[in-house]
Amino acid sequence: MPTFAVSFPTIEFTFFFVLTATISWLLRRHRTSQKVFLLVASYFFYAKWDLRLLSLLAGVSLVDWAFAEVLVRLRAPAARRAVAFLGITFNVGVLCVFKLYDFFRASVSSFAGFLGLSAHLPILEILLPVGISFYTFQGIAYLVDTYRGTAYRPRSLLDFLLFMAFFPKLLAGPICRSHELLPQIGGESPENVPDPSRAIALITSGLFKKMVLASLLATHLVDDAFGLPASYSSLELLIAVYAYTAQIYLDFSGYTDLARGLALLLGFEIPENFRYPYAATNIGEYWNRWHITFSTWLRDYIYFPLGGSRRSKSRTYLNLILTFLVCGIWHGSQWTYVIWGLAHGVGLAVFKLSLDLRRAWGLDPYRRRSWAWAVAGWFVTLNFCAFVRIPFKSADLEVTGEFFRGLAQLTARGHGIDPVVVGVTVLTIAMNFVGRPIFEAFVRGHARLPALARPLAWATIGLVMLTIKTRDVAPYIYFGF
Amino acid sequence: MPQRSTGHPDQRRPREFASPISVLIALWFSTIVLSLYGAPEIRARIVQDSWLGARPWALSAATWLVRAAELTGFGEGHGYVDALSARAKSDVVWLKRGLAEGTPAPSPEASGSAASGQAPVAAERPPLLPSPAEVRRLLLIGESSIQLNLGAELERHFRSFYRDLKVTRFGKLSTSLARPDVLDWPAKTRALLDEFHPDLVIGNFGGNDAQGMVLSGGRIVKYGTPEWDEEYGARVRALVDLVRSHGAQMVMLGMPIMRDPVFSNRLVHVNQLTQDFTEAAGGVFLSSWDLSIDRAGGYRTAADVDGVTGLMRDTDGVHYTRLGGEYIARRVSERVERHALLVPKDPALAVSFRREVASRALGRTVSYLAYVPQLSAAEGKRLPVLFLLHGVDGSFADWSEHAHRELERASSRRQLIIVTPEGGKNGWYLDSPRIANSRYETHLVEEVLPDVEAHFPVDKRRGIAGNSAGGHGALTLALKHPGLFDTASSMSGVLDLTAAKDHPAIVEKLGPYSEFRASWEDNSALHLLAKHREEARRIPLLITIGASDRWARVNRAFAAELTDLGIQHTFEEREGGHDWNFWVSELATHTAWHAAKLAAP
Repeated sequence: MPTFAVSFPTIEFTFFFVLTATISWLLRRHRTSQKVFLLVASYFFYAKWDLRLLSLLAGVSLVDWAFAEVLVRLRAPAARRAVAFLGITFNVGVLCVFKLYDFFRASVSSFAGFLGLSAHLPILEILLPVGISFYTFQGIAYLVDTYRGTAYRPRSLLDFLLFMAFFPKLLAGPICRSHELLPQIGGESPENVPDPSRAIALITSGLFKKMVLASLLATHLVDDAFGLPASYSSLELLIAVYAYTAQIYLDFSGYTDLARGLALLLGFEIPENFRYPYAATNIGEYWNRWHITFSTWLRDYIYFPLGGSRRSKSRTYLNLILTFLVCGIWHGSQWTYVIWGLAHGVGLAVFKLSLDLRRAWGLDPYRRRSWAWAVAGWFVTLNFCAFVRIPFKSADLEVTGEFFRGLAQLTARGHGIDPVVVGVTVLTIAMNFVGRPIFEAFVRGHARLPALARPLAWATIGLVMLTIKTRDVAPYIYFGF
Repeated sequence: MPQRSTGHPDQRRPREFASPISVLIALWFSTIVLSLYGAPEIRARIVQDSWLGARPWALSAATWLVRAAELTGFGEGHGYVDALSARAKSDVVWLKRGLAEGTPAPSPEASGSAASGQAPVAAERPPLLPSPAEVRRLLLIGESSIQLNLGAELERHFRSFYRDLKVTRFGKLSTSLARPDVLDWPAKTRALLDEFHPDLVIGNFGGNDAQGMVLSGGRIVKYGTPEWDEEYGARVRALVDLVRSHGAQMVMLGMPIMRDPVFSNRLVHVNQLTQDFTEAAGGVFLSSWDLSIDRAGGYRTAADVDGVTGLMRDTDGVHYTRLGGEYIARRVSERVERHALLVPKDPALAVSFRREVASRALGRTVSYLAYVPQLSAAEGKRLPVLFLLHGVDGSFADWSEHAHRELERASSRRQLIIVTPEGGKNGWYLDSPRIANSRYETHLVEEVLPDVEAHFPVDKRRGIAGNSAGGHGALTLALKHPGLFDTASSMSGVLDLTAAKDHPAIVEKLGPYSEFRASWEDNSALHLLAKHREEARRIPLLITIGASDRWARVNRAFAAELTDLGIQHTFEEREGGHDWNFWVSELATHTAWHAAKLAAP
């Protein structure tokens, strides 16, 4: 590609980051200059993706800040509600224009065609700004929290701009709440680097997941099998289903690990986004572990406003389904994503129903289940998540249909099974069970290293990663959402 | 709804701190070590123009870095690592092979040598006439475009549209002919050729090519220099040669326009090089640029497939959407049919053959296309032939370009063999007494017609039709050669050559009208009428014209002349202009008319 963008695991980004960290730590006793510098660095980073859309990031940040400033000064409930509504509409509007235009265009014209009319909205090609969802979601969360009176107020506009644009989390989250990041930005700079061992462990984990494992999967089977399922055997398609589920986890959680590790090296702590999701034994637990900052965002800003579980039981199920419908549509203007969201919503509603039934029968829904139950639950959950990703990954419903037809043929002969893909997939799922102790052991081991040995250790880690990485590291999947 | 745990695991343990100095030292140390290790790659990236815009200072810095890496012994380390990874790769290949042998995987040997393996299939279906090798195995190779939507849609379309066609595809993101270090395309192609034995290879390269190249000696040639062009051309040529040496046809598909104008401009150049060197090596270059631009020549955003309109390109402004891929695949397959014999699965579509004729009348080798209905070809039935001529500034491929499937359908439905001969950019289907190699009348009558009769199952019934200058050509040829044609028709014909007396190309051919009036009138349909009245009375004539066509007046006058001379004819004037919309819609009328008149005793 001729357009160059600073993705994390590149030599360009390494230089950018090391320089930024150096200057930032040199400025630690001049907090305002340090923050101005970090803001400039973040904007530079974003401008490298798309200069034209930098104004969008800055503009959204400024407008959100202005709405919040008006909100805190207003007393009349009706006026506050109106301002909050306007602010949220602005953010949602920006998001919709960029993400959903084509979806609505196609749907409106096909619906009009169904009615025998012709309503052709113009076909506009809209460039999707990288990371737009993540910063508009953060803006919405901040506005709603301000309206509810629970937001942590930034000390200055500068703090707020940095809160919105802080580069490690800018492109694909985690979505930070005001109280998670603003106090750190508003406070004094730490004198020392917090948790360096954890930072290095996170960076190592992120690099390993993304550069080595995820790329192996992307380049070997997944993209091709989902591009033209008809040319693969059922067995290969089945492997592709699991491999994609492994890949999306490696890709996204690898990015988050890197973001968190890099933020730590700059002296900031940003929240966890993944907690070994494929070890979940039910769908509720899965969403408690998968893309945590987004699932809690959905809970706080869509599910609760819909009434959550405080209304009738049936309303609770409906709210779950609606929430995940929104989640699906957010992923993209495609029916495939709608189906994925709907499936998860229904899955969660059914799970909730099972809890309610157990309660109704006088059983404790949270009672520890037997070992066999847990394994069965894990198996069903993992397979559910993997299979509903078939529409998620398909270019359109036709490909989804083709994929399922291919699976149903029960053929085994094809291009040949790649042991690398099977191995990485199994390793990824196993990592969800044994990852934590290994990670903690790594942190403890590193913490014991004398200061002089650390440069050698870090260089060694980097060399190992460079040596075993796949030649072409594909772009992160969630940058596109 | 899931609850977020409040006890953040990170905060449950005592925190560790390190002084910024120690962390920065470690960061810088590892960055320097990594850049020494990655020096060759860093240099390659700078050469690629991507990072620092190939600034000279960056390049020399990177070269120093490489030298430093060699001095510190990192260069050797690389060799060791490469050897290790090569070893690991061969292990994986071995493992794969082991697995494949365990299950009876389809092996390339199954098809065997073309003769023995294909024999049973060939016996079922007698070969079509004439029989240039029918394409049975198609290989698609290229960059991300082939790996992603475009490649998938090409594979899907070719597989579903054509009979007995096996398709294999290999596309790889961020590879290019310019970067054999990323993927050695010639080696990969050779392996694919040996494994799959294709008859036809479609390659799509160039998207990642407009970057510096490292020559075998380590010298760098920058994009935009003559050395680069030479090297790139040589690589294209080598690939085409390789494919052809394996007995397959090579079609190079050009790159489309991109949203980024700078990138697009580079691709114009890369496409030109690809075309020149592909054709020089005996391959076929097919453009996809014209399919990807809008009316104003800019980046086209929307595509239309079967009435569904949507975005043509992905949000990156580079790759195709699925819809866009499908659109291109359909159009490209029609173009490929002009060069390779592919039989549509749908028996209601005729097969198009291309024949080359070494023309003495034109002093060069020229082609024509023949559309032959599938069943009649198989049954050995003889059919009437319709010669369909194109207009000014066109070629034998004109009709195929605008109405390929319509021609296939019409040929089959009307049981006509339709031939589209070459009429040159300004041939006017006449023999120029003044300039050499411009005897299009002789070409058609004495070269194309005998070739058609020798190679296709035609009988003695012949029709001739054409649009614009081709309409004029159809009527003049029918009048000038009594007994040769049984029907003649014109759509939007320029029916009086003398009405175009200022046309420089005709002036060049016949001389200025004022001096060479006789010569003009001997080649003008309107003036030939009186002279060949008998022939005009013998053969049925059809003349159609669009009401808003600027030649409508001339057509009306021609029809009036026919009436005055007492010549039976059909004259139809309807809505339409002088354009392909009108001609494509006229095609059905004209083919039906010719078929009906030729069938009559």
